[in-house]
Amino acid sequence: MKEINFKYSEINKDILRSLEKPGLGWGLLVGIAVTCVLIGGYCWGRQLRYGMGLAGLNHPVGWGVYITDFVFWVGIGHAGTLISAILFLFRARWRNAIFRSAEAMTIFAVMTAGLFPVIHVGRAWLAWWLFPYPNQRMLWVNFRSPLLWDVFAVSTYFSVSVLFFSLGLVPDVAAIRDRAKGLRKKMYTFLALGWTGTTENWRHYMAGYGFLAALATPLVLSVHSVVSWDFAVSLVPGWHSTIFAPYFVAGAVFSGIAMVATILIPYRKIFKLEKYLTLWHFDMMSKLIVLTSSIVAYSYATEYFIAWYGDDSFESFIFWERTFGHYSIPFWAMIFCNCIAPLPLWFPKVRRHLPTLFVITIFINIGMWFERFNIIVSSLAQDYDPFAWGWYIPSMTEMGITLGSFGWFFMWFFLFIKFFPAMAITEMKEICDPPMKGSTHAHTEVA
Amino acid sequence: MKSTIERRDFLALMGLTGAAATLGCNEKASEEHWKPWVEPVEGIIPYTAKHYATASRETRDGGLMVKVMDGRALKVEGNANHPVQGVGITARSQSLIQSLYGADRVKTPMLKGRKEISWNKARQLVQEKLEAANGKNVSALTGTVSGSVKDIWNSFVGFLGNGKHVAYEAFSQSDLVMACEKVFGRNELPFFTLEGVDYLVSMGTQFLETWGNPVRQAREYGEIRTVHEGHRAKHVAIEGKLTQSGANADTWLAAKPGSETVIALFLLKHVAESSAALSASEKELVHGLTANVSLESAASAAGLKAEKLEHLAEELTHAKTALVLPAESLQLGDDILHHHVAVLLLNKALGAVGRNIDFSRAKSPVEIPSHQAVADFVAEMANGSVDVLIIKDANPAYSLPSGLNFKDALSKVGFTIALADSFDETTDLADLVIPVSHELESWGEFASYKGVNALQQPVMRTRFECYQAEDLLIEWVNALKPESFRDTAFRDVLKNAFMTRFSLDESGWREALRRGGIFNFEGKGESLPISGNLTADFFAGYQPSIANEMVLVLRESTRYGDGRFANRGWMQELPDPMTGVTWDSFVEINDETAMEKGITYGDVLSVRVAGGEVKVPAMISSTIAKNVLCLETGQGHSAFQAHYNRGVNAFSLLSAKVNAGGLFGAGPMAAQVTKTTQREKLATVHVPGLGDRITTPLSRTQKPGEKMLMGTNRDRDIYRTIGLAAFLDPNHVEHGHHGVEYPEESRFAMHHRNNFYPDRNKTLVVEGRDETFYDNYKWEMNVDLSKCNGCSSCITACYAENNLPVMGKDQVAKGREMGWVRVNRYLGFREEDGEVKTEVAFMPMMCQQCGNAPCEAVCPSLATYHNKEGLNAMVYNRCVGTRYCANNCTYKARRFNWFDVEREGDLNWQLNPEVSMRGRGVMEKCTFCVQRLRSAKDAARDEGRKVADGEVMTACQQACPAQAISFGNYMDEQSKVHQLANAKHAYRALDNHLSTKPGVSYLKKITLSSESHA
Repeated sequence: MKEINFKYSEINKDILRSLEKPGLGWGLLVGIAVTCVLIGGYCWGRQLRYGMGLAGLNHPVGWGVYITDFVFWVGIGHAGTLISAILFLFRARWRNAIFRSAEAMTIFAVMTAGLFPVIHVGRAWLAWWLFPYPNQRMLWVNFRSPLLWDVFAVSTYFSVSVLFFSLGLVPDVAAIRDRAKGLRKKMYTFLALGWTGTTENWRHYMAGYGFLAALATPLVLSVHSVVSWDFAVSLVPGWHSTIFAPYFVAGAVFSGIAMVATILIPYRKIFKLEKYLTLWHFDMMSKLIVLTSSIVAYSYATEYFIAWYGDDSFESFIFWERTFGHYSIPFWAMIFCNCIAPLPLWFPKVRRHLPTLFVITIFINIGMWFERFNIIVSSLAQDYDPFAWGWYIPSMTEMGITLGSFGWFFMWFFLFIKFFPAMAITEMKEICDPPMKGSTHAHTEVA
Repeated sequence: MKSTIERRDFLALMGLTGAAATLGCNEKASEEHWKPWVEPVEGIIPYTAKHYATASRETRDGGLMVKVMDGRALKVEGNANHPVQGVGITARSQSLIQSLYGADRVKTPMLKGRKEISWNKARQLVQEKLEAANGKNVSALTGTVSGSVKDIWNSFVGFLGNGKHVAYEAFSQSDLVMACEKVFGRNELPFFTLEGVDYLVSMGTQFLETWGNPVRQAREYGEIRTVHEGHRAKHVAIEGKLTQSGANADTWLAAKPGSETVIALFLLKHVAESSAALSASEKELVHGLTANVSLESAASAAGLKAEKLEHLAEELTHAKTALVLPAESLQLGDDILHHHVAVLLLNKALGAVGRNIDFSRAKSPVEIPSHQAVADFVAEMANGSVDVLIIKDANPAYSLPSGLNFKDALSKVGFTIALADSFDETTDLADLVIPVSHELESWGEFASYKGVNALQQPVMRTRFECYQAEDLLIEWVNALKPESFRDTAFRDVLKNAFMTRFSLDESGWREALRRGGIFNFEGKGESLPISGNLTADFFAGYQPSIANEMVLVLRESTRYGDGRFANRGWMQELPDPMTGVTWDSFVEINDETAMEKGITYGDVLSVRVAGGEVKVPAMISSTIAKNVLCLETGQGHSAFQAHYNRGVNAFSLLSAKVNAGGLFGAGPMAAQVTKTTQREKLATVHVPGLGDRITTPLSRTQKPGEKMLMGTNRDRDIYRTIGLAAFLDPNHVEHGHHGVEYPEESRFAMHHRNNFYPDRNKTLVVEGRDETFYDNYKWEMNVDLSKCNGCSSCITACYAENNLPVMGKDQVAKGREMGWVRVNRYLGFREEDGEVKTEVAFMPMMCQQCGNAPCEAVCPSLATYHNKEGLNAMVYNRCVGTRYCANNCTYKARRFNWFDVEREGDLNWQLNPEVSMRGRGVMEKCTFCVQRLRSAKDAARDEGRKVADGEVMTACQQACPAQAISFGNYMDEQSKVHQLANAKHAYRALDNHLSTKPGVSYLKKITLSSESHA
């Protein structure tokens, strides 16, 4: 298969096509997304007004769908930086076509994830107390609390991701700026940061980009490690485990890549980008999915092994109960979606058959959601004192807010593809054959 | 720029608006009699609590102490001066305060259909009707009244005509009185005491819940259940439905309901043979009485193994101080008199009469109305011979058997006036409802056991226009026949009568009020001979009514009683100690029976008995015998606020015939059970059948109905017992204080040999914080599991003290009850002689104030922290509500405010101003009543000393009838709590496993079995 099958001169036109005046379909999609956001907003408003009781939470299950959603979206937010930063440092050529959308996805996913800690706390209007801001009351936060580490980890990750993303956008934005008019022109001019395309510009740009990539790389590992410590550092049987950090990171990459594929498959079709997003890209992503799926499956097995070998009564109980007890359905859904459904991807034919891949990635998204649900809910439902056990069933409010979070995420994504090139023009140009000498017209035009 | 409004004008305007606002308020102020304390009231310091002794008809034989602050009654506690009550109190006595402020209070006079009328109109109407009926039949139906209260009622009906005064209580012990007359020729109710008992048999008696004097009995029971000189009393419960009292027994014999009398007769026969307490002639009489009784017939009637019964008889015969408590009227119906006679004789033979059944402190039968009187009176009403009926403190429309047709009878009465503080089914039938003051706003007196004369005094002013009922009676009679009553205020009537009776002067009267009454409660312990009334043929024709099929038994509810407690949120939300069900009627059914019939939790069953049919959701239970159903009284109302009208009325199934014991009884009723298609989710506080097992399987899932035997699985290090032998053996090493060794069946022994964790047995009280961390105090609590009987009074005390909200059924069903202390009830199963035996364990669980608290480390905003007094303090204002602390709490002691809870009626008035309120989104939990600690420390500091041991009590400790809870300063090595925490059988829950270093220690339950249960 040919990996690069587009011409240098087509790139600008093809990619920037997605920025043209939106059609009815786009409007409809944005409409649906906004409706979902409104539903979620309504549910949240009610919850703020009446109290957390509108969620299905109870004693002993104090965390449920909201934290599941939080971890899920943070996990989704992993693929972008992984693809753009780590694969950039490894010079993996296949990243160039997908990293921009993956990165955008990261930012929107972290923006979505960031809502959930606020939605989930009992007094959302005081959520800012979780930041260690100086104040004359001498109140300080508890640096021992993993939730505080979370605040730092997620906000750092978000800031660096945004910086990295907007820096990567600069040359492309400059290209759009040169064509845009009116208000748009002003916006793009601002975002282009005075880019003129000189060699000096490029030299600084490349150095800065590489530097940020190096900075973002450890964050990919740290943010989900820290998220996992919310659980691992606690005493709850089923949470208290040293394997959580690597296990969560692998899971996050797994779900993130799956989400990238889920989004890119229809995107490629709609905007007719088959030339740029080739089966080769999906093949590479599928391989990454297979790898991370294997790591996740291995982690599940390890958890069970340790529960048995560690011989802790409470831990062995909770793992037995998770498998065969009250919450066994989500558990088996998770096993099927995360360990079994991706198995066909070992075959090259399946990796290159996009409808199948699309279905598999949907399964993975569902499975990874259930993984977090399992860890959180089944462990809390049956911990040390049997008399305090209780079951949790998500309420309509929680489902509405979850729906809203998907709406929120896609709303931003749809807006993004109309305002920014979803593939990096410059980087696409880097990997394709340069134009013949003498026809450097394109260069001046872009830069 | 010149201002358009001058300063003077502004002030004038402000004055005007202020005056207008005040004028607007005036009307309301006059309505409610509330006045701001512009001038301080002498003797009252704002926000300083005062305690007033009083009494209540709900706690007839007891005395109450009411905490009052700024003119508001806040909390009902036990009156420590009262010889029967003591400092402890039952859950339902505490709920009295909720009826004071409840939304069901009658606030204005009303005509039928709850049509409000003015007081003037009401007075006029009463005068008209009384005038018309003057000289005819003006009758009164009340609850039990005594002393001068009784005199007023009797005089009232006497002055006005030929009517009569009838006292009615749904639950009464007149059956026992009749039996005493029969056996001993004494027409009175003896005082039962458990003092010094070393062998106790209860036959379905709810002596720790409702029967007799539960608070005192619980205290005595706790005492005899602790080891004294190497011994501890044994308790055998013979009952088809294991009651909370029976659940504490060492042995549960699940006899068929109805066989109690036969068993008692057999025991009597066996014991009498060698009894030293019976004279020769008495022995002969007993021999004659029990001629037809044999071990085999008794065992087969009871469905018990003969050896078991024989063993029991043997043990009973050889016990030094044995006592047998009789069954209750609801259990036995027509057999009840025979039963009581048999049990009294048995006790006589055991030598318990005089020692534990004390006639020198007996209660007069006047205080114990039988149901014959009310049955006759209803017949009289039905004749139409009653012209005016006045009803107070009785709810016959609810609690009389439906066969008596009280409603029809009432419609034949000329005019019915209900003097009521709250609405109920009877007030809704009355032609006129007149609001009267609540018990906490009234004067009164209660004569109880000999030497116990409790006074009732108002502890606060009425909040709206209402009067003491007796004052109204005086007023009405005096209006018709002037000068009938010399004193126009009942208070003076009472005072004069009381002062004359006990020859008191003014200061003596004041002292009596202060102490709660006049008490001179000393038993002489005389044993009585069997009287001549009892002839040898008494049991000749006796046939026990034992159904071999499915039977339904009724029992007095611990929480709702005769129904008057059912409109109090605290009682509705209090879990039934045995099943954990809140807010609903339920029929308890044996798990195996249910499985056979395909019934699961919450299936609505149709239970059909001779007296009628009820549809009730099923609660499956391992603590009820096969083929026995149990339904408790008190639910099924229709006149309360909608959310309290729930379930079914068990009284409706009672037989309208007054039984041999003078009561409406039911006895075991042959029942037909069919499953309907409906389901009703029961709100339980735990996951029934799974979360309440001691031996929760740790490596596998439990199937429904499966009973895993104790010892077949590793346990959870939460609830522990110790065998008596091990407890007494000085060489026996208990790994109590710091936990057990890992069990031998541990999967990998080498893990424990090569453990790289520090040895937790050697760590300090608190890791990283040795004793020097603490200032002068480290508050600790100790709970003696041998004493705790599961009564749940601590839960209600905590609700009252700490302003806990009542959430309602839906929320409880979701697991959102707000109790800071819960009583864990675990079941254990043991195989014995080829049968699976159920054992019950109660364990109060509250915040353990851990030294290494899991909750503290994870709170991101430092809203919870370990303070210098060993408390796991909670800063509500700083809480953001992440609920991380609750997740990480290994005892699940934290409670989250899911909503802002509106309190119905005036229940906001009950809130304790010493405890801050928590809004929605905030975590809360027990902090050992930190407000009480604060007050105690302030008082001690003023006197320049430290808080003394025992000086400060937590609310739960204070309420605990069994005195199972100790509290104090661990830093003081002489303190009780320090001593107990270092006792051989002390342990701290989960500490061994998690090293949380709890500040609550438990004393293992001392069992008679040879094995300890880690």
